[in-house]
Amino acid sequence: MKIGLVVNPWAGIGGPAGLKGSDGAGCVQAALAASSLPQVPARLAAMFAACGEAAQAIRWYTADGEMGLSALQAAGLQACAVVPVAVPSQAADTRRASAILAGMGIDLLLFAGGDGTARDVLDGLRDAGAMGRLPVLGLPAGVKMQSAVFANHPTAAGALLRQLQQNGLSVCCDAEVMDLDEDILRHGVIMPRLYGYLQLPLAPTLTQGGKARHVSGSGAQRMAIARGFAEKMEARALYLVGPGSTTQALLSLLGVDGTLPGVHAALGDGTLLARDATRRQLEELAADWQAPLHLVLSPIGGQGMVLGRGNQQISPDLLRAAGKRGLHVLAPPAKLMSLQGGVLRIDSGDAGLDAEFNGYLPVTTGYREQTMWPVAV
Amino acid sequence: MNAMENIAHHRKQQMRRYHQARWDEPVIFELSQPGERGILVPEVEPDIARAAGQPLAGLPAAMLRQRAPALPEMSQNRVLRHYLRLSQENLGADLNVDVGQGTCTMKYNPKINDQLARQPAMTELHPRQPDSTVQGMLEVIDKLEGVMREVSGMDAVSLQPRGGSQAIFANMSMVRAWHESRGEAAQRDEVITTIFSHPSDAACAKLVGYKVITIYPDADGYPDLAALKAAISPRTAALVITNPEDTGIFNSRIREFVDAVHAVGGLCVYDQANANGLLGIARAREAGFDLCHFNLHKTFATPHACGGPAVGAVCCTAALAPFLPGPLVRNQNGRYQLVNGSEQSIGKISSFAGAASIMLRAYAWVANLGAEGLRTVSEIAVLNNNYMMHELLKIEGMSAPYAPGKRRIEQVRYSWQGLSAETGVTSEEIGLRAADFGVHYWTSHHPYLVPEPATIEPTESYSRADLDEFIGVMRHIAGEARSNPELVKTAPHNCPVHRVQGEMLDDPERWGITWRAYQRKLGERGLA
Repeated sequence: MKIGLVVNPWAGIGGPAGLKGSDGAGCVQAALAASSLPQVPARLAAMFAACGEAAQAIRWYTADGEMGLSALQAAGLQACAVVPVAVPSQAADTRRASAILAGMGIDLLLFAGGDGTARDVLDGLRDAGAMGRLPVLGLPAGVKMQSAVFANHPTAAGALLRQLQQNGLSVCCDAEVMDLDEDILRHGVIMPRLYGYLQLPLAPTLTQGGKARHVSGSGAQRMAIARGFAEKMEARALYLVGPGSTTQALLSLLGVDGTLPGVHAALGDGTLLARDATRRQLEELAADWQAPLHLVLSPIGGQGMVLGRGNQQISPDLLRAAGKRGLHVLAPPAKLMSLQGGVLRIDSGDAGLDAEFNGYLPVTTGYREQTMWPVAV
Repeated sequence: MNAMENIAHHRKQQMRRYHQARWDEPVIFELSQPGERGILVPEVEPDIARAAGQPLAGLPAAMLRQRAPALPEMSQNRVLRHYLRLSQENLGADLNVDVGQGTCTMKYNPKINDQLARQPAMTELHPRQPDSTVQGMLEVIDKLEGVMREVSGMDAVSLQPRGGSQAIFANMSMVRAWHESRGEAAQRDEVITTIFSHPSDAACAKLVGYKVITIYPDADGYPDLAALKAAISPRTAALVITNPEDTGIFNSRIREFVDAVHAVGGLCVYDQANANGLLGIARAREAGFDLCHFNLHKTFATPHACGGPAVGAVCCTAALAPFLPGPLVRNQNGRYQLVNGSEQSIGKISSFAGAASIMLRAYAWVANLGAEGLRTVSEIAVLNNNYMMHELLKIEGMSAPYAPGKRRIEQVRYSWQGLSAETGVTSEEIGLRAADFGVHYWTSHHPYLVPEPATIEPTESYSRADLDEFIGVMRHIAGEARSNPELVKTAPHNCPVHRVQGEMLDDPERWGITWRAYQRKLGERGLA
């Protein structure tokens, strides 16, 4: 099997910095200034580890340097051909490299990045006339992954590559690529539009599917969830409240002025400690605060991602500190039903830690109402 | 072909042409004319008035009405006309092949039982009569309790609750009283139920003060046992569950659920709303439950009566018996008397000893059938249901999610997802179109876990020709959805009320369930 690999080395860098994405050189600079580190190498390493020896049997085609070759070399893999690219790389390089790789007779194009990278890959395949023919798989490494072209976890990407190498590629499906304007999103407005479709190997348990919309229930339902949760909040405990309309209802109930896509730190009595905080701010707060730490998160409709999509401000260390008892998932029943029997997923950036959450988590679905929902990596 | 077969054949070939009456009938309060009366009561003669004196003078002033109740003032014939017109705008249980209201067990209520209940000996009973004057009625209650003990396998019964939800509330109150008696009430604050159990189970648990954990089904449609095991803890007060659930799938591993909850000290409550396929076949006792309840208006053929009066029969083990609501009937050597519940009783769930006319109807129904007859009821209900499922699943675009190839007990939760994806027609629209052919149809409780749901329960009451008529309506509408979807999407066309806007039903500021509330809300909007 011949696989092309293209990596967006800056993917995901804006997440811990609370920048809602990493599009544009200005954003990358801002993220580096906030001491954010590139997320991609660790996620590629986790994928190759899960792929195991099958990776050696795959014939790899890639772009030079941080856009692919470095990752292959770090995993001890050889490249059959290397596309030269500019340094530092930009979106145009992803598009150009994808188009050239598509012309090399590969069976699958694997890319590492987020929604923006998926759009660049789609443009590249269109340039090469390979749209709708060449299957694509995304390693989730960006900030938001609302598109349906991604594996649900780096280890799942590795497992899928192993399966494809062993069994070959048979059935593909159309997977939507979403376009979300990050500039508007930073102002709290979510205006997604469908950018196009890519062909994705059919593997429902290993790929995340698209984000389901309009599953957040009515305002009354969200407020019922918020009231039920607020009842059991401890006044002096530290709560890190993630993005989404369900968690937003909790913030409004507490009288906290939050933004829809941000992560906010507040005490149970409604004292706001950090609005739209970065990973570093949250970690410093948590280190200083002696009381228990709680994470309040809402999964992404249709995908079930609780952590690792649009809320990378919450680091593995924070998840570890909160533990199972401190992880609170809020979701109206309609959102759970949008998973269509699927599980909740955690992709914190530390695969070993994620696996510790396998099993069942209580999910608050209404006022004094919970359900037990399966979680799996 | 004999006459009956001919009719059945005709029905299969041709859709029933039906049109509901449409009356522009006001609310009864709007029909009121000041001073108009149904009965003109003669003036009291002077000597009678003298003899009676001032009967109200002895009452405390605070208990006297300041003004007469604001009842509509109407002549008898206008009242009769009003209600007859409303009845014609209805699709009642005796008017249609009423198999489309699944989970409600809309079986035929034999009219002879109504006649019994309407005898003066019944209608003139008063709940405050001395026990010695109502021995017959008390004997009926005692014997009906015996039937319930036999059907459930339990040790003790109270027929006091006035319906299914009251019975669930009674059961939840008994759970709390039990844990209080053991000093564990503060610790045990969670009740576990399932998404396919009746919503009243969760609602009543909450009303009694419990937090609710809802278990969703696994991939095969059974309640997720692993999720239950993750949910149980020393905080568990009880599991409340139906079986079969509203999918019609019987959970044969129910004993494992019960044992897991008992192992952490919780009680197990069986909501027997879906018992119509189980009479004489499976009992709560053998499955290990502590409590259960039956709806006499479902399984035992008494009227649903638009929300009552009804009876919910609460059954329990001897250990829970001290907590039963009272008053209860005691049989002392053939003399019956009403006694209050024990000191640990949860008290009264409603006034007096229960709805006598309903208990008489249920007892008469059981007495007519006998034990073997009850079992036959269930066998035919199951047979009817599986015949219907077999035929309905031949309609392209209709499916029965979960447990493929397996039979169901007494009802099925179907899905029109296939038809809906193909035509854009929703299950709710199919239900509205069904009304144009004179049959009632229901989707499911909310939230819709099964997409585009339809819940159908044929019971034992309907003939094969009846079932075929309903199946024919479904098949016909599926055809219309493909050939003329607009016709279905704009239904009903032959009914007085075109469509109800669902979102208004969810908004407490926009519905009024009493005349007074309706007037107040109109006033608030400047529309009065």
